[in-house]
Amino acid sequence: MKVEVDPRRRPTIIGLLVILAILAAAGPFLASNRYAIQVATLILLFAYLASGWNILSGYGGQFSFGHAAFFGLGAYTSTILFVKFGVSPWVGMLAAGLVSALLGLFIGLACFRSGLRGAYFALATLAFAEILRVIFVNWDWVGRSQGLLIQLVGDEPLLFQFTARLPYYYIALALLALVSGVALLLERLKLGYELRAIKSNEVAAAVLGVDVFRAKMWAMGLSAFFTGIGGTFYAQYFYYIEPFQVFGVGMSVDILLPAIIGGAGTVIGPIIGAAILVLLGEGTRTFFRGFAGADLMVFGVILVLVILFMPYGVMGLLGSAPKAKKESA
Amino acid sequence: MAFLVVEGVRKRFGGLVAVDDVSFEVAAGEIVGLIGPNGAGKTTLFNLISGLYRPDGGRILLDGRRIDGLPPYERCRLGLGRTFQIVQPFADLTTLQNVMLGAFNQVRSEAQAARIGWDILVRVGLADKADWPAAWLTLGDRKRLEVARALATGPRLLMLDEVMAGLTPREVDDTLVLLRELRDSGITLLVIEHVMRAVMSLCDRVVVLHHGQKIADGTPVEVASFPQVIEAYLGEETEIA
Amino acid sequence: MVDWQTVAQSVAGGLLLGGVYALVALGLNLIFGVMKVINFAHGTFMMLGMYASYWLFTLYGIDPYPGILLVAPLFLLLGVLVERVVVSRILDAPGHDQLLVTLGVSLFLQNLALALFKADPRSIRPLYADWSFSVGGVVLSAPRLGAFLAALALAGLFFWLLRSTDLGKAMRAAAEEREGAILVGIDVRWIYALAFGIGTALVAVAGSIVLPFFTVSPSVGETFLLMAFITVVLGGLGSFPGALIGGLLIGLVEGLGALLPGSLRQLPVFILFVLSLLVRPQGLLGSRQ
Repeated sequence: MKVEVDPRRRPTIIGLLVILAILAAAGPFLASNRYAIQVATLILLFAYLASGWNILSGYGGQFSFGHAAFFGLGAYTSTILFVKFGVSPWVGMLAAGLVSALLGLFIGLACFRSGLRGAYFALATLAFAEILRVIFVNWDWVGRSQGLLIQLVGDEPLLFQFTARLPYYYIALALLALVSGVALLLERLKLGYELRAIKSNEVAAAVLGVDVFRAKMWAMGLSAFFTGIGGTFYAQYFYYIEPFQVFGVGMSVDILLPAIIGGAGTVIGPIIGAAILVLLGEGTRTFFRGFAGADLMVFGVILVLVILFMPYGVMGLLGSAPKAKKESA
Repeated sequence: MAFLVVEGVRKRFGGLVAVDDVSFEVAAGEIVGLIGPNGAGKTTLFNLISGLYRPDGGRILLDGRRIDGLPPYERCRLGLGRTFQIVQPFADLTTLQNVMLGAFNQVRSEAQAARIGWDILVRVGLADKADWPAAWLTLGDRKRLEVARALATGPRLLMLDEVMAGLTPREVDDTLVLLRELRDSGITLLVIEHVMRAVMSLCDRVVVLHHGQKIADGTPVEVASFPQVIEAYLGEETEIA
Repeated sequence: MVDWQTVAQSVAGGLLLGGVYALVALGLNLIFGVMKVINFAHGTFMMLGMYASYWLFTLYGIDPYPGILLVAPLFLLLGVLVERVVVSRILDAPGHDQLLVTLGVSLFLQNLALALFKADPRSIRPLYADWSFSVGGVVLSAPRLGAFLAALALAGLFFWLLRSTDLGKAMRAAAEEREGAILVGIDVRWIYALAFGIGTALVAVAGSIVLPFFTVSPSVGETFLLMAFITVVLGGLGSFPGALIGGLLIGLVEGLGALLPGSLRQLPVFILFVLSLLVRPQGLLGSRQ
């Protein structure tokens, strides 16, 4: 007989395809307004980054507060390769993913081998990102706190530079489609089952045959890989990186927030969360012009309210996450 | 040689000796009960056998192979399954998916895991709740799910930690039927149980622990008459039979 | 080549600041030890404590040290308020939810400070700003020495409170055995609120005593929070002696790091942190989970 494994799967696939199709169709309309395409691209970028974070922290429950480490390292890897060695950022993007994944595996080795988890793990990841920030702030070769500028070469698709904004939008959309596809696939793979089990109860997972360390390392590697690639996109989009921005606690928070608000451990949650947060941020900045930080104040309030009253984020409201009692989560 | 051999196993937590030089064997196809007053070291012994703790001394063999240095997942791969007294379903997975997680110990594809999982849900009577979020299940159903998950790993030895505690008499009877079926299908059982009616009717043999030491080993009727067993239980003011 | 006097100077400077790290970490550990909550807003409260002392000094001419008498009760109240309104609601939630809620509080308060006070760094110059003592050729600046001594005195006061008062005993009971504490009639809710309040007051006072030699801006808390996190991971989450020793050790290593070329002064601390994660993840004085 045919068994339906997960009643949420079909709506998720349909929902994702609809969202991606609408975003793809909307591109040319958005492109007519420079501000609109900018905001839309930011939404896609942070949806992508949050989806990458989601693999380790949403599905696997290993909460990273330091994904800026992978993001920043990715941004610097491709930028250094381009600025210092003339390597195309497309190649650099892959290198960025791999270097970040290596860092992820090192951090994973340091934390998971000794069974570090929960709050300890969160603190350790945060500290690793700060360590990288301090290293890059003090490193002459990469411009210390001034960071690195990417020299403009005009419309050069092979060098990841476009004079129009629309190509960036579609690149970000492709990245988002890729990471969402991986998340969907993950939900069907043994690894995806193992991660969600580890999230609830590592010990129970272990006696059911789960190699907990191995599963966490895979999640860490994948998550860091995608985040590093996001760093390259950011560098190419803004043509400028500096350590306080790309390694900062603020970046780590920006990466995890969309997943939390939208619904951690779901495919669509990070996309919805990113849309809400970016639009809200832009709206607040426009409304409270002259009050630096007003948008972050609003984020703070929303974060508190979501955790207190909607523990599964927006997707929880849509019935797409288990309405579990919190103590059994 | 016996299927499970526990030989002089010791475990200490700080100044407390939780398991003190315990030895016993379980033959293939047997149902062995592990009983004793609260704090006797039963669950600690389970944790030692399933690999959550490393013993401070002694040896544990499964089917002739030494396992006491192996991590839990490798012991599971060798055919060792267990449940926990405090049931905790994986909250992000459905009931079926909870069981499938165990099935991935045997197979790699989701479809195969789903087939195994479904068969087991039918067997334990949870099939109608297959697509519920596991967090919705009642205590009785959670206990069943706990057994189903362990069963899905394809165990040759299944260790059950108080799967009947808190169940209604009717549910206890259902569970007894299930456990006998499992034995008939070739699974060896080691059960921690406080429901004495169940122990007496189910087990071929009973091992009694008290203060971390083995104080009796024999058929249920035999051990019930051992003076040291009666004394241990009188201290607890619990009836044994 | 560095001569011994430079080394001694660095060690002394590091140890003095280490005392402040210890005080910050003590507050963090009190909150974690009693409530099992890691308070992400801890650094933010320190920053607010610095601003409170700054305005007391600038507007009313009250020096930060006597100002403690105002700052401490004010932040005790603020801490109790934040605990009752927000943190108390998520005590049973998974640990990362608690981190996120306190992160939300921190985002809000830090950016409120940014909106109110702008990003401009501010500092005060009390009378004793340039005083210093020379001990065997090692120069100790008066504000830093004062902060160190005040931190130690407060840590001592804190240990006394924990060991010898009914409140301290109740807090330790609630930390070790929540159910038991409820059974013997301790109102755990108020113990939690007070623990959060005292932790907040400790870190705000840490802000007061560094103000005479430290510039305040809305983001200043981040640095101290990171050091406090590293301190508690190093010393053991929830361990009070661990916080004290860890703080001094980190100050010492940071002080020695100042001898390095460039401005890599924090790098040795981070290396120490990574090593301790790899070798002794439960911390120097922590017990395994």
